[in-house]
Amino acid sequence: MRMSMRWKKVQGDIQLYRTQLFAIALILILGEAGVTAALNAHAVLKREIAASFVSASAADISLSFEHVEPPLLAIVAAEPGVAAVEARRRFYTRVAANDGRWLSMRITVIPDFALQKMDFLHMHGALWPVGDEGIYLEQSGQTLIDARPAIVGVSDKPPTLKIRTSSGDIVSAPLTAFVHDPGIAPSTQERILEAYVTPKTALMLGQSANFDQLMVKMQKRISFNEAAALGAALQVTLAKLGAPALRMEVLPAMHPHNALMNAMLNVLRVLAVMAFICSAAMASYTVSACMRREVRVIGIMKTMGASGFQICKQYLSLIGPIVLLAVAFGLPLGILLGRAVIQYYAVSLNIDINDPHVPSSLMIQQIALAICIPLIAVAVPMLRASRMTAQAAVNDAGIVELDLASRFAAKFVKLPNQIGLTLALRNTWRRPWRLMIMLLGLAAGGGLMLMTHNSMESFMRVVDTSLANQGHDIAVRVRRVQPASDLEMIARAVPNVKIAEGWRRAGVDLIDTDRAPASSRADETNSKRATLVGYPAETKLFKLPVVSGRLPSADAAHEVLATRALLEVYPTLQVGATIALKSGLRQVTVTIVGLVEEIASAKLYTNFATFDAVTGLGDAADVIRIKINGDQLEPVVSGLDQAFLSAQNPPSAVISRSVVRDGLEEHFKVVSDVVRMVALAAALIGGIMLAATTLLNISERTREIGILCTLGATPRKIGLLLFAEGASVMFFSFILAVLISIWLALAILNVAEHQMLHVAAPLHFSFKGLAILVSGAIVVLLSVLVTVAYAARKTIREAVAYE
Amino acid sequence: MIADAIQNSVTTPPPHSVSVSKIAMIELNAVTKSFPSSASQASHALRGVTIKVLTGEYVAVLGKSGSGKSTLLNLVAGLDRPSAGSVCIAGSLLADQPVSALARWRGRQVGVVFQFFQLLPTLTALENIMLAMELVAVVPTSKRRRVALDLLARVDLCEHANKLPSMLSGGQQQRAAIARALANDPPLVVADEPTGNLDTETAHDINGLFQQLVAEGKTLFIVTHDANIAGAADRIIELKDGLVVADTSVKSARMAAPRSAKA
Repeated sequence: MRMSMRWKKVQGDIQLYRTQLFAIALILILGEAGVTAALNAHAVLKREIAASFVSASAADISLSFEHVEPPLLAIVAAEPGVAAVEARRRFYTRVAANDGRWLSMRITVIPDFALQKMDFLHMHGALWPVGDEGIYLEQSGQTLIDARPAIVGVSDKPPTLKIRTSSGDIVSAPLTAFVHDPGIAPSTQERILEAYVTPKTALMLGQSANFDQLMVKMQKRISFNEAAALGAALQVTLAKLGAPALRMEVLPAMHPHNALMNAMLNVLRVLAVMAFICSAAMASYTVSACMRREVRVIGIMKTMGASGFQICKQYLSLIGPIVLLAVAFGLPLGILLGRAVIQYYAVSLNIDINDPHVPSSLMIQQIALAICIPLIAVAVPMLRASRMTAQAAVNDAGIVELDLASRFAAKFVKLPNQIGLTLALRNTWRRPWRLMIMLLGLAAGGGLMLMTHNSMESFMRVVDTSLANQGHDIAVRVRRVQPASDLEMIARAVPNVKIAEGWRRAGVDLIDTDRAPASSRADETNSKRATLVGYPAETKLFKLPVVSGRLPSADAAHEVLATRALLEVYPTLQVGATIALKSGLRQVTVTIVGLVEEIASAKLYTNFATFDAVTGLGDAADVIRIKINGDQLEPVVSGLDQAFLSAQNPPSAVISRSVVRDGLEEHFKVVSDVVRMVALAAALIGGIMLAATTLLNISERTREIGILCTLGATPRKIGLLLFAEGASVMFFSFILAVLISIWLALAILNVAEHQMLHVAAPLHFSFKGLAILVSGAIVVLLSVLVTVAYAARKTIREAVAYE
Repeated sequence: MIADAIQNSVTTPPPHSVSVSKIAMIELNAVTKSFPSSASQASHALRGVTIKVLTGEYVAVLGKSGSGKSTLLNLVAGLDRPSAGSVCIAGSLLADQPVSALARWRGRQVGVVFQFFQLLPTLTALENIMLAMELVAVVPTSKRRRVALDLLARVDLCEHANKLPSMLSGGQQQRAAIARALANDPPLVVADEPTGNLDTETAHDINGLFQQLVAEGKTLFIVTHDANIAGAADRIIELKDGLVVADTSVKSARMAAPRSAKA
């Protein structure tokens, strides 16, 4: 059977444009894959992050008591607006590692795993064992535990954890299972293991079997104030019944890392939008650039009597299969990539992905866009040709006409005695839109990547500065308060401890006496809370710089320093303000005399005299701050652990500078990883665009190459001129990327300074990031070089013979 | 002036110099050029063409479309290679030359003029000429601008030196293209239908320019349909189906004509 002439033309076009068509197919596939991956990941993560937290059914109010007895539970449960109540208890312990180190672990006692009423734990694929005495470890701690294989065995016997009890004894408790607590921040970021036990296991660990917290779940929570009102009402009721709560706290109805996860989702959304814009633009211009050469052919076909419909059918036969091929390959690739991103964040954010499916409406939209955009791109030159007279279309050389940008370039781009390079530079302006898209793609990719590194570098410098400003290297929290001198003596006996100071901490409620009577703002009283930290009079470890005001006088009894975080969280408080601090039943008025900066800590610092006046706790220290000789933290951490254990006051946590640093780094990583993904995608798209554009430039300018050949240009010189075009785009993109990165990093640091870190966050340029950017630029240039070498292989005769 | 400038810097001899007659600029010996037209067949653009053109000759090549004119011109300009036979230009055998060596040789020895001018659209007239100099590096860098301006003055385009090709008329573009072809003072100028896209008056001017070049000793090898160009040539070669069907010396006929008239 003879092939129709139309199909022969299609066959001929495929042969003629095989390289360009391959580039178009590749670009469409990558674009489709990128957009699908980003949109799918965003859609699934947004839904599953919300669902994960909802599945926790987080408590709304926490009431603290000495003991929570069953009748108390019944009373609160019967109150209006209360949906459920549950007693709980929390305590801190240490879990041993094989190498002698002890990790901090927070243990929550739950009355009955099988009858949880809120703050649900999930055990994947298993039922809760009855009467179990083991420990249930939160799954995000698995990687921390896995680093110590001797602790978690792989033998037939259940693996065991070595736990230090409050009396200092070490007990082995079976690790029953890994569970998921969707309401907490991952252990990898908080650097503390979370575990759950029954009262029976708590007893085994040297703890009381009693509960001290009464958790309340509201029937319907609309706002924070509503929850605060219910909490206050419960306090009043319980006080009337002779069981006053020691403290009431309204719990935030959101994940502790809600802001972090939202930031990640926003960046992912930006990735989706960027991938869409870049791939759409790329698909459009590669297809339309290829089609531009066909304007004359369309003119010829029109002179032969072809109708618009016939011409459309002709070119759809050429581009249509490529578009369908791109969807067929790009969509599954995007789905796979999207799943990889989702899986990465499921682990990183510690969320359950119960439903990995993407909404079908989204998939339909993606397919529709993937098909429509290239077809619209085909339609533009076809429409242009259809509007032209047949004669004009036939005479359209396709490349000669110069637009405004080219004229501008011809006037102002000039390198003395370098006409070849001048030609290359001017040629980059011949397609200003193409140039702009390429510059944006490359600069956005490079800029985002460098911005990530600059921000990380700056954040970590802020962390290091802040940790250095704190003055201490290690903080030991002990279970039993003791006179500071006793604790200091224990610590000083450890080798390489240079300075040890016993500090005090207590939670206080803040009442802003300058604003209005406290009684009129009962709802706010409970929400304004801070930690009051007392330092010794002769402290050598209080090094936080006072950025405003002054230090409290050594003998002053009612002066405090506030951290910037506290003043930014509660903007009504200022240096010079008078506030009442409430601790238990005591209420003392103090003055904020100075402002200090410390990362993300809403604290008040004061001397022992003021601390004692506010809290009435006397000389009762529960934290020892330590400065060491040298920089070997680990041996000192182990030594302190052992020393306090021997002194019958085992630490609940030993927090070294490196632990704090690692934890903060993990926090930053959640967002920076997705930004890196954006950067990689943008740079990849930009790189492919540059290579594809170089290919198109060469194929569009065959005649120009022929002219250069007749003028005596060797293939090498022609290659260099074409390479210079790509290199100049790369160079300007590089400069733009550096500027974008600095601007974005400054913006991010500004937001982070005021909303997250609450310390000055100056920009520090990352030379590692710059080295990566340079490497990326070299890779892109190599791809251009390969493209030039490939495409410029046309023979001189072919080049001259063109048109 | 151009020759002076170039003489100071030409140092490299042409590739594969052979001992040929000093006055032979173009020597084609039994040249055949075939192009594959299908899997088993080849179309023959030239079939054993033998031509010898002396230095300073003005040769016009005539023939219908498909007769092999452009193929012949491409071979003479070193833009293509023969399938069989030898091509020797200005004492250089072009067969088997590496592409790069051939490009360098072409830049120095041959100036090419096209029907559609083929100026680079993003460079001004002056820059187009300077680019040709830069690519070959015969004219010293410090002298390029002056030499290019002299060339533009010669084709009466001095005022338009800094204009882009799109701002020049067709005739001006062709004159700029001729100036570019002369940038490196090549002994041979080849032109493919140089007046094919120009009006009669402009074509007449261009013809005048070509005659000036011949008067200066350049060899001109021009493919044309223009009777005026052909009429001004010393010699007309006619091609048909890849064969030389006529090779007429117009110059001798022209010289003989007055004598016979006197007689």
